[in-house]
Amino acid sequence: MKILVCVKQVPDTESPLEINRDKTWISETDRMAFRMSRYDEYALEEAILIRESLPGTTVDAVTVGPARAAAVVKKSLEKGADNGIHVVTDESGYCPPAVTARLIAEHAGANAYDLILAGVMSEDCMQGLTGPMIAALLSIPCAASVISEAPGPDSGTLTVECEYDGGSSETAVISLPAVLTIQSGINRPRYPSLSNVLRAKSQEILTVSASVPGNSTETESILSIDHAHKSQAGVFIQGTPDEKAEQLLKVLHENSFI
Amino acid sequence: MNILIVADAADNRLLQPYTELVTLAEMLRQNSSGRIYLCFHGTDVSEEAERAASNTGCEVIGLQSEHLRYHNPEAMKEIIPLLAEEFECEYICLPHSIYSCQVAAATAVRLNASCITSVESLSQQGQDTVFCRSIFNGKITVKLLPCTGRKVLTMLPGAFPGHEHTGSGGSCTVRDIEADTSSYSTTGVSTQAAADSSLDEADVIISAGRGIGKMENIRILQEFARIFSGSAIGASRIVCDNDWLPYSRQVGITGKTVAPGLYVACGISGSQQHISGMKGSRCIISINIDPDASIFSVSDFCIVEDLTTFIPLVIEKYHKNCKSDKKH
Repeated sequence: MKILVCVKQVPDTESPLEINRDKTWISETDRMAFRMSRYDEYALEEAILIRESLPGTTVDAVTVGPARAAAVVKKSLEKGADNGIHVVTDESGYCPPAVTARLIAEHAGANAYDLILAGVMSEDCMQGLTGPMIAALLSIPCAASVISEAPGPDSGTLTVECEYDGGSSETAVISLPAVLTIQSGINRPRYPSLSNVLRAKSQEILTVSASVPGNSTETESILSIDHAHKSQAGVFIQGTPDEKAEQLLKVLHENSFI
Repeated sequence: MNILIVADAADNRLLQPYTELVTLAEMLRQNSSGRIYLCFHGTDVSEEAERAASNTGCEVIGLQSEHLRYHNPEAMKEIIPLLAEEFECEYICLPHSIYSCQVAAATAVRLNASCITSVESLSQQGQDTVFCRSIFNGKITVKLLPCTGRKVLTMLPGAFPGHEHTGSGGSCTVRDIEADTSSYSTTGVSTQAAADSSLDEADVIISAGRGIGKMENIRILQEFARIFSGSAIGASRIVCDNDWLPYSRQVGITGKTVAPGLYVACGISGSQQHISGMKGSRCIISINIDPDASIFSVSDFCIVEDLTTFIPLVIEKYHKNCKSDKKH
């Protein structure tokens, strides 16, 4: 089986976020740390688990992003992916899912993958669109928010369990080739192994410059971004930890919780 | 300017937040004379279609097929773009959910339309309608401007009020659909697994987020929970993904929605997914080491502290105060 895993590099959400001068994206300061989007880690691990159970399977990892995004392709190799592809864009700002999806579909279409995995959404933009858009562009079916997958009743199918909102889930049979978007908790992503880290050091990543087929007009653009409006209603309890603790107990007592 | 609402349904009944979608559609239509179409799927939809037409005033289209008993995203990917074109709809509106985002994504690709998910509000920029949503775990809001003739939107549940229809009923039609399940077939559905009813019954929920750091620190929250009567421990998704607490404890969009008298969020950053599951709580207190955590924007009381040192301090003071009260 030939598997493609889509991984995205995102700013570490624990880093403080500053908005750039024209308010069109966050500004990339030197302090900003980047890493692989958490949901994509689960997708990559799932691909490697499939490879371990199905000899002859290969796992390719692809990212769409600026030069610094090569780091998540390298990380994918360190975690065990066989090959890495970096579709390099000029933009370090917001890339609409439709554009990312077209670039990945272009690569995937030329390389006949049986299975394409992606995180259910990205940790930064949380749209949940890129995976389903890739499927639509390739005219293949898509299962979203997968929390378990296994070979299906017939060859060339998978049985998937999809977790929906409110804690309900649905089981489905999907035919290959297909896109699966992966929900967190499906597995426990492994740490890079020493042998893979060494291999990744010298392994070449296929670097492709972005060329969107047809007209590359964006479907939507960012007008402006801003820090979320902080509600006026909340009270920040002040003072030393000791004073805050006393104040908290007072609040709880006054509201008859204790 | 016409609008197509694609509502979710189960067992031939419309699912909320379909009335909120009607409100959104009316806002998009503004004063123009466009029509609002509302479609939904099922195996036997005529009764529900009639009911929906009379209580929304929309032109309701029931999509009927044996193969639409359950979610069939592959079939909807074919049907919805065709309906949007047939009825010349500028906007296609769906509720924000994992299933609907699949349908939205494929519809946008097929129609070469823009696609914006989890819309929280609208605003005007000259002639254009601009859509607002959150990114970076709710820390940043972004205004998006669609650049295409057609627009596909998914609406964040709870962001728009439910529509109260007072006028005359709309029309309704039932269409028998050619759908198949050859590439994707739902074989079963299950509602929430025997979840801990303790979350539903609790007056006080002490909830663990990534900030607890490691599984061993859960006991700090358990000790804290003991000072309240009728309390239970909840969790954000990432705590469950890490196996620190079972998924039956998860509060949020893919877990439980709770509304206790008191919700104490400990080390929870406050993603949209989590907040939507607890914002109905009567009193919300949040403890987080990050002063910019989004959870603070929905909290009544905010404490910027490291919970692993702060909560034990609170527990210690509580017991000390109890002892000194007893002396009196």
